[in-house]
Amino acid sequence: MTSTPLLKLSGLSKSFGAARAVEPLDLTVQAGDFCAILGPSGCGKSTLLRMIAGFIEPSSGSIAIEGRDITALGPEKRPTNMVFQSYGLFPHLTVAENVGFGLALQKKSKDEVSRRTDEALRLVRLEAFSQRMIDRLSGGQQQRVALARALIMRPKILLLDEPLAALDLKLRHQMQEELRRIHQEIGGTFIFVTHDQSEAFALANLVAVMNQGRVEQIGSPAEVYLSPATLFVADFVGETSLLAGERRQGRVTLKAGPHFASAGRDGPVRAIVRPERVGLKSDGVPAVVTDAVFFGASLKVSLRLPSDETLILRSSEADAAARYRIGERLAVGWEDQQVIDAGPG
Amino acid sequence: MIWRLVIALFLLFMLGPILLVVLFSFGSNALIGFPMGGLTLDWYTKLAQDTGFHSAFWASFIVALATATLATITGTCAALALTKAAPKLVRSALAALSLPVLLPPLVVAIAIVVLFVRGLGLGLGLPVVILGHILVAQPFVILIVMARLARFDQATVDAARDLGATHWQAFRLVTLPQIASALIGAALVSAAISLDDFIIASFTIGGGNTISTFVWGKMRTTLDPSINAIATILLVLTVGLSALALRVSKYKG
Repeated sequence: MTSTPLLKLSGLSKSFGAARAVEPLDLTVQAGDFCAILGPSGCGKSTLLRMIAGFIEPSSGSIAIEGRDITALGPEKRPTNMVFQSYGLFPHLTVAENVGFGLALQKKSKDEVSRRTDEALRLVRLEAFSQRMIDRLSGGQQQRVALARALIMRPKILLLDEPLAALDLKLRHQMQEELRRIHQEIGGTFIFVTHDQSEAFALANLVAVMNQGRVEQIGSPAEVYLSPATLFVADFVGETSLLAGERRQGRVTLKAGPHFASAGRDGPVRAIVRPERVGLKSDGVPAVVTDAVFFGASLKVSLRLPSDETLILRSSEADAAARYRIGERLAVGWEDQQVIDAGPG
Repeated sequence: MIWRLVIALFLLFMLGPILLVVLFSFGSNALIGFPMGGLTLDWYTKLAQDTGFHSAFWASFIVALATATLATITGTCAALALTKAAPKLVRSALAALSLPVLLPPLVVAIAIVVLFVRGLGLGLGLPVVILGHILVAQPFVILIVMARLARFDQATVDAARDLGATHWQAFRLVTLPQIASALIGAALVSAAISLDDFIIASFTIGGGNTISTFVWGKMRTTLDPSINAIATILLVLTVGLSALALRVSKYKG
C-alpha cells in the first residue's frame, strides 16, 4: 500500500485582482472520503471547488491527484467530474443523451454508451425517464440526472457544488440519503460544498470549515462540533452560545457570573456552551426567557443573562413549553463549556 | 368613441396607401386610379418576363443571403465576446456597435463609398453593397443574440467541458444548438433589412440593380402597375421574413 493520498492541495490560493478569494491552504483527501467544505456564502468554498475541477486557475500552489500534478490541466483533462449548483443540464437533449454525453465524446461504442447510461440511470432511480426532455423533470429529478451524468464518467473524485441548495427541505433529506447510499454503493470519493452544517455532518466523514478564504479547521464532524479550533467554527457550527470572560492564573470568570478552572494564557476568552447542555440549576445564573420556539422534537429557548448576553437552551422534555414561558425568570447552569482564547477586543 | 375614430383614421392614413398598392397590382387598368377595372395577374406575368427584373431579383437575393449569413456570423461572435466582457465595456461597445442604426442611412452610404471605394480602392458593386448591409444589419444580430445569451445557462458549457469537451466541442454541441433559433431569427431579420434598403444599394451598386433600385429606375421613366406588383412582392418578402424571424426566435417583447 502506498500512502499517496487521492487528492493533495498544497499552498493553493486564488486572488481576483487585489482581493484574496482563497488564502493559501493545504488539504488532503483519501480515497473513499466524503468530504464537506463548509462555510458561509462568499467564504471562497465554491472558488476552491472550481479550482479542483479546473475552471479557475489558482494564483499559487498545486493540485495533485494520486501524486500526479494536474494544476495545469483544463477541466476536460482532469479525472474529476462535477455536479453544478444549477445542474447545467443540456436542455436540448433527452435525459439519456445528457447522461451519455461524456461517453459519446470519448467515442465509445453505441452499445457501451447505452449500457452504461442505463446503469447510471438505474443508480439514481430514473430508468423510467430516459427519453424525457430536461424541462419535463422536477427539481429533484434534474438533480439526479446531473449526478448520473457525472458518475457515468467514473471520476476519481466527484465534486458537488451546493448540490441540494435548490431543493425543498423534504427533498433535500431524501437526496442526502440518496447521496449516502450512492457513495457507499460505488465506493467513490466525493467532495461537496455547502453552507448548511447539518448537511455537512449528515453526509461527510471529513469536514473543512472555511471563513473569508481561510480554512479554519479540518476534521471529522465530531471533532469540528465538539472541539472547534476557532471562535468562528464554534459560532458557525451548531447553535452555540459564546459567553465573554477573562482568564487569570488558570481560572476563568465569565461576565455572566460563573467561574471555573481552565488552564491557559491570561487574557480575554470566550466560553462555548452547547444548547443541549444547558438546564435549570437552582444555584445557577439568573436568566430571563426572551424567546421560545417549538421545533417538534425539542424547544429552543433564548435566555438573557445578567451580562446582557444571550444563552440558547434546547430542551426535549415533555413539559418544556410550560416551564420556559417568555418573560419567566429562572436560574440556569450548564456542563462542559469549552474555552477559546479571544484575543484583545 | 372619438378615440376609436381617430385610431381608425390614423390606421387608414398609415396603411391605406399600402393597401392601394397591393390592390392596384391586381388591377387591369394601365393607369393607376379608380375605377381599377377587372382583376388580373398580368403585371406579375409581365415582371416574370422582364429580364431587368430578373437580374435585380437575383442581385437582391444574393445580397440578402450574403448579408444574412455574414452579419449573423460576425454579430454572433461579437455577442459571444460581449457576454464575457465587463459590464462597463459592454455598454460602450454596444453603443459603438449600434451606431450604424442611429446614423442617417445617407451618411452611412456616403461613408461606405468614401472608405471602401475611394479609400481602399474597391470597385462599386455587389460586394460593397453587401458590406454596407452587414454594417446596418449586424447591430440587430448582436441585440437578438445577446438577448438569447442573457438567459443562457453558462453552467451547461462548464458541464460540457467537465465531461471532456474541448472549447470548440462545447460550443458546437451545447452552445450552438441552444441559440440556433435565435441565430436563424437574426439571419431572417438581416435578410429583411437588406431587401428593404434602397439608399446604401443605390450609392454603392455601381452598375446593375437590386429590386429597390430597379423600382426607383422604373418610377423615373414609366408609372405602370408592375411597380405595384414589385412593391407587393417586396412587402410579402420583408414582412414574411420578419414574421418568420419572430416566430423562430420566440422573441418576446
